[in-house]
Amino acid sequence: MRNGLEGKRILVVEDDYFIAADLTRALQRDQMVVIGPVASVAVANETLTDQAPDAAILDIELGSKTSYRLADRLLEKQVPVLFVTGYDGWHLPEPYLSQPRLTKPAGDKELISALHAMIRSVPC
Amino acid sequence: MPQELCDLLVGSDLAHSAGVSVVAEGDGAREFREIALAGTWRRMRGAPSLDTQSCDRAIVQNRPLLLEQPGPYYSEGEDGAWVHQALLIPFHHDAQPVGIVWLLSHDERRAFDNEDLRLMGSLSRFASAAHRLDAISREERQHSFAQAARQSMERQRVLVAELQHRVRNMLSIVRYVFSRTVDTSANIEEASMHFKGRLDALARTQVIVAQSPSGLVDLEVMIRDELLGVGQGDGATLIIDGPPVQIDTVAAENIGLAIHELTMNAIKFGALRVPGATLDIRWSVEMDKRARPILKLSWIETGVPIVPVVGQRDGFGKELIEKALPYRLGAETRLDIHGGGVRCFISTPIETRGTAAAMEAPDA
Repeated sequence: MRNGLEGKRILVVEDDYFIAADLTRALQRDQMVVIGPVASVAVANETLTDQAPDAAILDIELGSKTSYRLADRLLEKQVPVLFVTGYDGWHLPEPYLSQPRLTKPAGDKELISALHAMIRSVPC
Repeated sequence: MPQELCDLLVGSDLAHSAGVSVVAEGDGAREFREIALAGTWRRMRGAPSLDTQSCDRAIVQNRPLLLEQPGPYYSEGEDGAWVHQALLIPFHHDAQPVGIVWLLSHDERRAFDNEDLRLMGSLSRFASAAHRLDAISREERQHSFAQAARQSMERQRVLVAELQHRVRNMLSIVRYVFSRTVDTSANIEEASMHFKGRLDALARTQVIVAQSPSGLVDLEVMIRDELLGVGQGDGATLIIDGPPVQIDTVAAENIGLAIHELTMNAIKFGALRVPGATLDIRWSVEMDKRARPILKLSWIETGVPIVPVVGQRDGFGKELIEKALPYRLGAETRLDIHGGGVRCFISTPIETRGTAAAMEAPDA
């Protein structure tokens, strides 16, 4: 089934291997290209110097750091950001409350439809 | 302190009875609550309360009052102590009269005079100070109680969020392990067996974490638990040896799963199946160039004639050791499958994540 996401380049930032692998599997099954996955903000920043993703999936807590500044950088470049977190909404700072968000464990369908809504809403 | 004041007044023969009453605002009328009492009235059973109207007057007029033969009144033959004179001295808190120090004489032999008034003026300041101290400590008690309650609630909230976070992460891990196991198993029985084994390994780690007050896991306990779980203890052919090392939950989950995969493989194909083969599990902690502790763990099987195939069972063990540990823990790993048995080397930083992050440069 084609859903308009084929060939889209998705940056995955998630520090847990299993979750990252699960996300990667789900994205690749729908013919998306995974950038990463990477486990830290530092590596994500390196990756962004020569890669331009169409969207990014960010775990909020990466070890003891958060991915908010990375999200700022991506949003500045018009790259839509999907947060994936084990915390409830109250944990999110105010500026990010309007960002699309998935709660772990996220199902494949939820993931794909969230990405679909994000990527479609970006002006060409 | 009000009681000490009363005892002092009676003890030094200033009055036959002495007491302190504080204002307790009732419905409409002002009421008085006796908080200390000494002397004749104290020795009487069911001593009467001081005449409220007189106390009220002293409070309203906000000055000492000397009353001749005020109430309570006793009819003849009634068992009581008739009041000859009463001296009522209001005391203050924040410029508001809050109570009365009162002195009673029960017969003519003790009559109050101006000297008593002057003395009582200073004593009432003492009562004010005592009252203020009492109020402050009550406020502090209430304040610190409220603060403790707030802190406890906040701690609870953080713990609940943490727990929720951990549970959700764990579910995500289980989800992946499940789909990975199903994808690579030959049939449903095999998938079921492998999945249960992996779930149990994760559960064992959780039990150890839950029992540890620090949230850290003793590496040796974890390794022994895993091997005991499949009926393997120390012996001539199994050596488990290393210094005490505490690792955090994330490291424990990942290394625990790796130990599980190695153990299952050894039982099926390796040193825990073949008679005469040995398994040597050892670890040490060394410092790297930046003086960070690195755990070096080795799993060495010898005397296994047929080459075992760790992880080739379904590739999960291999993926775990070669990909998951480097990704999640920043570990360096090596998995050799050759004649004689499996050899696995894991070298991983073991600083608790918080400390490690604190030493890193802040992200740009």
